[in-house]
Amino acid sequence: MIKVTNVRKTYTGFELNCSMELRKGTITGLIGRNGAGKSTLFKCILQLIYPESGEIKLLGKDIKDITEADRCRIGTVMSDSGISGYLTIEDAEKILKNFYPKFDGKAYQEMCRQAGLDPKKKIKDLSTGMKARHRVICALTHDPDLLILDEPTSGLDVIARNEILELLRNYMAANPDHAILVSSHISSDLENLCDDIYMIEDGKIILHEDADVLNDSYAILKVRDDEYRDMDKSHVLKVRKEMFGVICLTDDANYYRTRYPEMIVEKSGIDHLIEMMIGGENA
Amino acid sequence: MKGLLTKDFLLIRNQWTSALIIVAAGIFMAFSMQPSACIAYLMMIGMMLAIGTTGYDEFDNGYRFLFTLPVSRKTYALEKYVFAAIIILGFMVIGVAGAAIVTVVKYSAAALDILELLAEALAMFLIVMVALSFSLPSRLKYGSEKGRIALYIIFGILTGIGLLLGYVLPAETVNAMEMFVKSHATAVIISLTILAVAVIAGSVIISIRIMEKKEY
Repeated sequence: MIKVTNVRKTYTGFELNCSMELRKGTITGLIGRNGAGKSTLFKCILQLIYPESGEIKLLGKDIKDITEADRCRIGTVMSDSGISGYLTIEDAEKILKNFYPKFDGKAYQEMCRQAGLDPKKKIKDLSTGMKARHRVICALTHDPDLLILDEPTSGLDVIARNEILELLRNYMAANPDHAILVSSHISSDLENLCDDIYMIEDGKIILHEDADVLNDSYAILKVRDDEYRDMDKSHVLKVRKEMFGVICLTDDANYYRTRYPEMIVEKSGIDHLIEMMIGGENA
Repeated sequence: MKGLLTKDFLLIRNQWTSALIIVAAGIFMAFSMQPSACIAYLMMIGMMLAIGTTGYDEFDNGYRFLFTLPVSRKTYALEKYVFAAIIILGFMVIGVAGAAIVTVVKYSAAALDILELLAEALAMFLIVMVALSFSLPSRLKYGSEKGRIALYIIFGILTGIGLLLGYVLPAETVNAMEMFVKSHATAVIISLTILAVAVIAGSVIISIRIMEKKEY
């Protein structure tokens, strides 16, 4: 659905330079800190900005050849932008109906009703959570094949975040051959949603892994200095010095569990993973 | 383009109270001055209202969302001209109707020459579209605030050139030009219409290029 190859975009003090792929039937998460390059990459894919080099394929086509009809197959959420705040929920429906031939007005009204969105209310007068929900509803109600969602849960409390994630799960359950590319700086959002995770830092992809592999194989090893000195480090990705000794990030927890039964091997979780990938040193 | 037009009409609808005041002021103007004066006034206001929709699009990173919709930058730029033309024509119709009513009330039914009024309105339409052709690209390139300053500079330069020509050209030349216009009225009107259309077309091309180059 999306293939990004060596895309490069530079700003003063920042360079995006990365490759990634989103396959049909998957939810792919892009995770990284604020300013890591997530939005820049999304903007490149959506042609809001123009990369200096590299290639981007969207729906099997070079992005330069994407037509307005192709764009009807994509639903988008940008975290800091949406339909003009001066318009009402009802107005948004009229606008979307005229943009998308497959726009489903009934589904839009029903989803807005379920989300407690008053049709007469201006978008600028909605709460942050309501605005975020409305953006996702706008992206979902024209039967898109592909969703590109930049920080759809940004600034929301845990309940509002879960409601949005539920909308996305329902979308994939109803359309198993579609795909979602979603970014977030909140790891727990992506941890339980995605099939595939890319981690971005300083404009570069520093990790790409299947979500199941991340859950099952990646782990944190807590070892004393002497243990660290003697242990096999062939599956250690990053290390960090601590008061008690060293913590190591491994991509093969079972290897260490089997080989060193006494070793403390803890499930890493994406937060820890990010922390180690960004803050840790090479073994 | 239908989606963009819907958006702009819905946005401009928010200003209907201002529009009513503007129309009332136009009718007052028609009473106190030449009845036809309100046509030009209303059309200029229509142009400004139409251009004002770019401010709404720009607000709160609006362009970033707009260009994720199924709309190209080219269509966006073209739509602004189409939308402005529709609004200006709408205000023209109101202006012509207002001027006709004021003429009948203020003078008499016999004083009303509807064809002359329409011809004047159509000429004004072209002039306002030319004014739009200068304003819109600068608004698209520099945004609402800087665009306004750029617009003042453009119109300042044009006025300066006009004043300079009036000062530099000898009276005989000006008289000769007036004579020429009077004796070749049809040719002059056709030439000016072609020139206006060319300016509008050029402006559309420039606006498309501006939009295609911009990053959001």
